[in-house]
Amino acid sequence: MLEDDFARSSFPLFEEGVIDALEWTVDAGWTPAGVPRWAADLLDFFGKNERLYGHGLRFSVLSADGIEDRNRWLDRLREEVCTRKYMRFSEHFGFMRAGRFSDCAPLAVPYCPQTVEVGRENMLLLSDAASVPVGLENLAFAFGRQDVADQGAFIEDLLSPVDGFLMLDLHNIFCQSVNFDTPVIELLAAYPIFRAKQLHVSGGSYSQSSHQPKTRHIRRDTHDSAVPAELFELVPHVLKLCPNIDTVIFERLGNTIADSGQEKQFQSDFRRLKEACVATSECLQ
Amino acid sequence: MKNAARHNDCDRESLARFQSSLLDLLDLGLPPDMVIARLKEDPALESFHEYIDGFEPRMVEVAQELVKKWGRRR
Repeated sequence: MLEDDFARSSFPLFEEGVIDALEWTVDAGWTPAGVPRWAADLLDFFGKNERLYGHGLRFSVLSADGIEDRNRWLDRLREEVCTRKYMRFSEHFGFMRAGRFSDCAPLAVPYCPQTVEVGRENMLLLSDAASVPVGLENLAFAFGRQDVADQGAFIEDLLSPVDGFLMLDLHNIFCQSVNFDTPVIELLAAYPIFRAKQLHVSGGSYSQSSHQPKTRHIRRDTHDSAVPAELFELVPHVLKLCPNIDTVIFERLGNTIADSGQEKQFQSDFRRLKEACVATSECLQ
Repeated sequence: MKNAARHNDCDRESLARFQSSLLDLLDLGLPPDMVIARLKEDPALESFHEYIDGFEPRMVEVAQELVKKWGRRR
């Protein structure tokens, strides 16, 4: 959000007043440079109007070690939630810290009693520090079909003790659908979708594996391109399946909007997503 | 706790070792099949063998790219 291309592309949408809510990845502001004034003013505005949602990246819910890093991160979160008002706070399913690595992208974890215990302990700590409802975002990445099959039940086991919410990332579900030849609706059936309160919609990309036929590509959750048509078709169905979703977040990484054409595509994707949400909401009433 | 017995249980210390070994091996630039083989060679990770057996090399390759792009060492 802090990058020039993201700011430039989204400012017209803010100026039009069509953005109803904002999700802020809090770790992005925990750097020596901090949060620039314009961004802080935006976050404060949405916070005061109870339209700001918090998201974390580096808590690492399923890491078995790295306790000191975890506790430092929780201390920062306690400071953050005193700075501005968040309605809810979500983190990522998976682990990203272990041994010599202080940071990485979230990866999958085997589903067994010990890993559930680790995750539940960390979710309780997260809930205590955030002081607002906490939730988990489903992961796109899986080492194999077992990770795909287990993730929904695993997430429910982590959310139930804190009565947490599901931060349903539709593009992540789409990635698993493509990569493991499983229909989106079948994947969703394994998730506690009654807990879904927020929906992430984004674009991604395809990469080629050296381990597949060249005709088959792997869908990646890279947040760096237009929302695929399949997701726009899915959004109304998902919103009807998940009637407790009250906030839809359009995601895009900074430094991925290279020219005016992509700026217009970004703005067009947002407007199309909003129209789909409004139309579905009117249908459901 | 639905289906939590799907994988053999482990203790916290061996889980920490698995996660640490996994990231280290993903960072070495080895062929994915070799990453999988090295994980299974470690006797301390025996309780994860069933889980590792389900690893698809193409997804291990993705994990290697993720570690290369986003991994930060202490």
